[in-house]
Parts: sequence; C-alpha cells; structure tokens
Amino acid sequence: MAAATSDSTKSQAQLIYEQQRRRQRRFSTGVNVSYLVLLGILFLAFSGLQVNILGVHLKTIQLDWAFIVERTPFIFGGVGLTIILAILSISLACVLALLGALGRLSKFPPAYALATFYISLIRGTPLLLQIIFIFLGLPQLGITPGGMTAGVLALGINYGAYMTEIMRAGIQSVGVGQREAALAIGMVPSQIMRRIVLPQALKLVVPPIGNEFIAMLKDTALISVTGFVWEILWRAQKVGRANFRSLEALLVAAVFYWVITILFTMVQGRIEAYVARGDRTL
Amino acid sequence: MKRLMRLFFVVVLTAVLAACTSSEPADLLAKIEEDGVIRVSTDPNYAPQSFLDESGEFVGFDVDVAKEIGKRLGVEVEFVTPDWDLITAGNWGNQWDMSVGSMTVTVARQEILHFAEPAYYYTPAQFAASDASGIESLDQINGQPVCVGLSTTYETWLNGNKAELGFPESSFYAEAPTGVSVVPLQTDNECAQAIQAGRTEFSVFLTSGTVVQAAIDEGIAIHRVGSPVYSENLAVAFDKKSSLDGTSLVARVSEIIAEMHADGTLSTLSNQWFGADLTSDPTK
Repeated sequence: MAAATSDSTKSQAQLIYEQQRRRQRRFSTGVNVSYLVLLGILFLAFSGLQVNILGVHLKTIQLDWAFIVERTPFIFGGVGLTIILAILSISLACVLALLGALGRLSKFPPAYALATFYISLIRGTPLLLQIIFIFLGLPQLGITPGGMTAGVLALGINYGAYMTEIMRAGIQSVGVGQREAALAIGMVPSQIMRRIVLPQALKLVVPPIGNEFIAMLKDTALISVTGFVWEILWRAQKVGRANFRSLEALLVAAVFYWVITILFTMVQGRIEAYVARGDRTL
Repeated sequence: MKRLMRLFFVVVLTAVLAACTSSEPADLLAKIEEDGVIRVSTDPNYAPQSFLDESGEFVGFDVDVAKEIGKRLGVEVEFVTPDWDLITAGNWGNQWDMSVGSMTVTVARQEILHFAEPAYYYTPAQFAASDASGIESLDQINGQPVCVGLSTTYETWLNGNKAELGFPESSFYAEAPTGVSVVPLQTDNECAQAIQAGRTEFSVFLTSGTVVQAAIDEGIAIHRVGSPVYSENLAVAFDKKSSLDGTSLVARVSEIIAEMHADGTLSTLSNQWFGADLTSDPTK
C-alpha cells in the first residue's frame, strides 16, 4: 500500500488491524526496554559502587574484575562437558522413562511393581544423595564407574523416574479408538505400540521433555561433588577457593549456565514448532 | 519391544561379566611400572600446595613433589581430583594410586592408609582471626566459635580427640582452647572467605600456617593469633584396602622421599613455593 493513501480509503477492518499491530509493537518495545533496565540494575548490583542518596548508604557487590577476566577461559572449558553430560543423561532418562511407562501400564504384575518401585525409590530420595551413592556404592560391587559415568547414571536414573509419568501421560493420551482401529486391521500389540501409539505420544511428550532437559542442564552441577568431572561448577569452585575469590568464580559460572539455558530454550522452541508442524491452527 | 528388552538384558549381562573377569597383576608397583603411569590424587583447592593456573595446569608444591617422585620412579604422573573427604576416607577402589596432598599422618588415618616414611614436609597449625574481631591472644579464643576445614586434623584437635591424632607429645606447643564450638566448612579456605564476605558466625579459624599466609597475601583482613599450636608431619599416602599389594610401592616411595630430603630437592621446592624451608622436623 502506498504511503500517500489516506485513511478514508482504508476499510474498517484494515484500521482495526493496524491499530492492533501498533499496540503489539508498543508492547514489545516496552518489554525490550524493561529487559534492558533489569539487566542494567543487575550490572549495577555487581558494580562495586557505593552511593549516598538522602542519607541512605547503598552498597553494591565488589568484584575483582581482573581475576574474572583471567579465569573465565578456564571456567568456559567446562561448558562443553556440561552440555554433553546433560545430553547423555537425558538420553538415558528417555530410555528408562519409556520402559518405566510401559511397566506402569503393563498388566504383568512384576513389570508394574518394578516400575512403580523404581519411581517411588528414586523420587523419594535426593538427587545429590543418589550421585554420591552411585559413585561410592558401585565400586563395592567391583564395578568402578568414572565420575562421568556415575554422574550420567545418577542423573539419567533420577530424571527417568520423573519422566516416566510424562511418558505414561503421553501414551495414555492416544485415543483408544486408534488402538481399536489398529487391532481391527490385524496388528499385534507390539506393532500397535511401535507404529500407532508411540509416534503420536512422542509429539505430546517433546515439550515437557525439553523442559526436563533445561532443568537437567543445571543439575549437572551436582556431579561436581564426585570431584572427577571438570564441568562448569567444579572449575569455578576450584579456582575460586584456591584464590579466595569464590564469589567471582561462581558469578562467571552463573553467567555461563544462564546463557546455555537461554540458548537451549530457543532450541526447544524450534523443536516444538517442528513437531507441531502438522497441527491445524486457527 | 521384546527384541529391545532382550538386547537390554544382553548389554547389562556383558557389562557385569566384563567387570568381574578383568585380571590384573597383584603388585601395585609392578602394575604402575607396566602401565608407565602413576595416578596421583590432588586437591587443587589450596595455593601454593596444589592449584590450577590460568591455563588449567596443576601447579604447586605438592604437584612438583609428585612429579619428582614420578620422575624417580621412571613413570608419568597423571593427576586425578577426588574431594579431600574421599581421599582421607581410604578405600579408593584403585581409582588412583597415591596421594601427594599435604596429608597429616595421624593414628586414625594410619588404620586405613599407608604413609611413606619420612614425611616430605612439616607445617605449623595456626590460629587466625579477622582484624575486626579484636582477638589477639590464644586465651581470647576460649568460648569462641572456631571455623575449620572438614576432615582436617584441626577439626579433630579442637573436638578434643588428641589421641586420634597420635602425634608425639613434642609436636604440641599449646593446649586446645576450651569451650569452643567447632564450625566445619567444606575446605579451610571457606573459613577465610566467610570472614572476607562479612559473615558473622565466627571470627576465628584454625588451619595450616601456609593457608593463613596465602589468605593474608590475597589481602584478606585477618592476622595470626599467637604462635603455632602444633606441628604436623605431612606425608605421601596410599590405600590400605587396595586389591593390589602396595608394600613395595610404599617402600620405594619412602626411599625416594629420603633421597629428596638428602639431596636438597625438597628444600629447594619448599623455598620456591613457601619462601621458607619447611622440610626439617621441628620436633627434632
């Protein structure tokens, strides 16, 4: 549409539409400005400035910036490992969650009991305890997992228990009619599960699993207690302690965790859009 | 699904069998020489004993001593980083062979660990207090909360378990203060950092003189309180519960330590990292 076109030539619908667009633009500009203000306040809190406003003495956190600049590359070295840990653990968790969900839906008593027992035991104990227990307990059985293996096992087993319920909900959400239809054309139960139910359930469980993955990215930090896995928090704690600069080192770690989370939240959005590409929209 | 289940069981069974059937030589020293590598635990929480430099390399006095031992054994040194708690608890499950980590020889630890004889250096246990506290003498520590690192000799001593340490009487220069409440934090350095951060649960801590010096060097507002309260013999440690026989390794490393004392290697390293020679036994 040409810029010279006067309002009178536009239809009522166009005017309403343009008004809505203007409101949306104003809203998103407002949001972006607010983000900048919030970030500014956060930076100010770590600036080390001390001000007197009307007799009120305001202090901010003082940091050794030279130390931060010097040690950031070393802490950054843990970013890859943190992501790898989370990816390996979520893969294990998905497998366990699927097996757990099948167990929970099974008509075979031992399978149902095993799945229920697993969920109850794992959800009933803290993740930190499980990591230490697997790390120290398995060597007693003659199996000595490295810190990495122990960490992935513990995280995978823990998240698997929580995700079992997600998988179960996904499987149960596939209408019974789908199963009936598959049965009618002569599929056996395992075929129905693989070809009819799981593909449809998968689409529903992707968003909550993405959510679990983002939570897990930060729970990988707990693996640092074994001492053998040089992920972000381990590195930050070691350089922080040895130099009496824990606050600085932890702040660097926090920034990396936050940035990773923001990036993976964007990836999650893409994946969700991808699995929903066949959906009808208004 | 059934095929998947069967595959799963096969994988689990193979893993269990593989873990059970592996056979190793029975002597730890022989195995180390065969592998050409000795795995040394280090706790890089402490400068100048063991810490990570800008590029993430291990550096420090303990690190150099470990490398020198490796060199004299004719093997490579590989460092692993379990938490201090795990090192002092023994039962290492063959995940590493030796600790060169400024570990004090105590009676309780000797029950689960072998120590190379002689010690490779000696440190004084030193009280320190925040400058703001006004605490200047050992008497003023009575009745105070005192911070220590978890599983350290300082914790044991303050809790009145002197017998567990089993040091000769000549190692002690002072009696433990009375009526103190012990605040154990993850490492000794947390004590200094808590004071620096302005926490008020305690204003006194007990640690090695080298840690106090490192904290003062970093500009933390603390000072030494009184003279050292006891002396600690720090030695190379080995796991007693290892499935491999460590006797010959302990004997060989003991010889190496004695050589390093005799030829001045340890004195040189001590001067380099601590600015003082801490390698002679102060009780002798």
